[in-house]
Amino acid sequence: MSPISEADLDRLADYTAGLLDQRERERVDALIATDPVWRDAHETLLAAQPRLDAALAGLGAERLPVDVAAQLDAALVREGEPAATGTPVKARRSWRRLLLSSAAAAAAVVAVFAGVVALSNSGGPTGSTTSNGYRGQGGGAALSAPGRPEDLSGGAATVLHSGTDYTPQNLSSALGAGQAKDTATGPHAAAPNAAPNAPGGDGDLARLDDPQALRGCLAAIVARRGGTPSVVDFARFQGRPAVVVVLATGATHRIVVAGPACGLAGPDELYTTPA
Amino acid sequence: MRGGSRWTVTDRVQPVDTQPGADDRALLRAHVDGDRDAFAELVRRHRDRLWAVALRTIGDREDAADALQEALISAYRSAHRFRGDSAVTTWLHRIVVNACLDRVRRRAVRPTVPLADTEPLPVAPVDSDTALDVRAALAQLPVEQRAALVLVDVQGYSVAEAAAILDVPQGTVKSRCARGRARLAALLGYLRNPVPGADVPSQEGR
Repeated sequence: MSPISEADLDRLADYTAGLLDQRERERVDALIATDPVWRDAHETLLAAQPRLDAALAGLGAERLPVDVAAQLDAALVREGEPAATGTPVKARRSWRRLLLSSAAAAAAVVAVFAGVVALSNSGGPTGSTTSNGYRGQGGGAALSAPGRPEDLSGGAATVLHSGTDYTPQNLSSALGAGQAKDTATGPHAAAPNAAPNAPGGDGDLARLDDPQALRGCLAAIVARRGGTPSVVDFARFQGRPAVVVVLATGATHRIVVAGPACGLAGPDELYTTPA
Repeated sequence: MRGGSRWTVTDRVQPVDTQPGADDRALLRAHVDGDRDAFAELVRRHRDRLWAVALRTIGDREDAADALQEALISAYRSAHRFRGDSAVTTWLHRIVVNACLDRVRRRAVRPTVPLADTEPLPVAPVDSDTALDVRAALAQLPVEQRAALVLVDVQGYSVAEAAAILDVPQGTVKSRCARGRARLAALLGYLRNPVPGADVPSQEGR
């Protein structure tokens, strides 16, 4: 067909959608009946509709990337923090609840300032946190509350309990590890979260809820792969309970998937992306 | 407890999904009443859809993340002003979409050059069907058309819902969608050869 002007295409679009008043509709009727350009434009615009539907549907669903979710949660937590300094009482309670209850931990997100590079640092639980107080609904990352531990100077790793079932195909995009933009869609998108407390689920990773155990795990991973852990997600990998760790090295990232035995005798590495 | 709340809810919100809309309202009320976890739970319920709308409307991941965060912080702060004359999710979407539209207008990121009425609409050099091509074409639409198209044709909201979110009449949403689809068809090259491999296109409408 011969292309028509932008204004005429708008007019034709309104016509095909039945949005013109009678007078204007009759004008377009006449143009279609007498002008081959308009007739062709009308026919091809109608014919394009199923293809447009398919193209738009092909954009697929979008899940909020884990890194964006963590930033958003942290911002909301900051918004709710009192102006006074110090860790909110409720947050401290939540941290204790997190440690004491794997069920609560399964739905919580903790910001751990573990000095993960300087893993030789010894100390108690190093992050303040808050639990969401509700059972997750497949939303994955929940609240993270950055703490300000005074004895640590290393980088910060955000710890998530998303329960997401990752695969090699969706790993990079799902974790937003500086890979291609906007790729967590289509057939390789991460599966909806598994129930955090399902048998064989996140509960198998309960040992790693202990900060010391998690440090040992991260130390084993860093010893093998180098880098700085920036995100730790208690999740699944191809259906198996796994801790997914994003290691940052300068501008590059590597994602390591570790099994429940991570830190006991090495990283229990199940999978890694290239650096 | 925040001051100035119109609500006087005294019961704690329970995470029951038997009436998701009503539960959203309960969560928002709980937030206004000082429950520090309620708003996060509300966001958690809707954030994937809100993200999808932001990402598709803005077309840039970082800008979309900023817009979403800015919008939800705004919603967090202004929750006490929610009048309850729409669903909470509609209210959240409206705030997010407005943040996106403001951001796009402010940065004038629309890459297309306005065409004179008499100039032909450019068409893609080849027929394009990949999601990347569609996203690129979508990003070239006027932002008002893009927002309507994203809500109705990509996210599947009804015209009435989109009209409530965009705060425009339903007829405006329909027109924006129709015009956006027509431009998208032109940008994707569908108007030259709308059915691949077919000499005579069907005339099936929507």
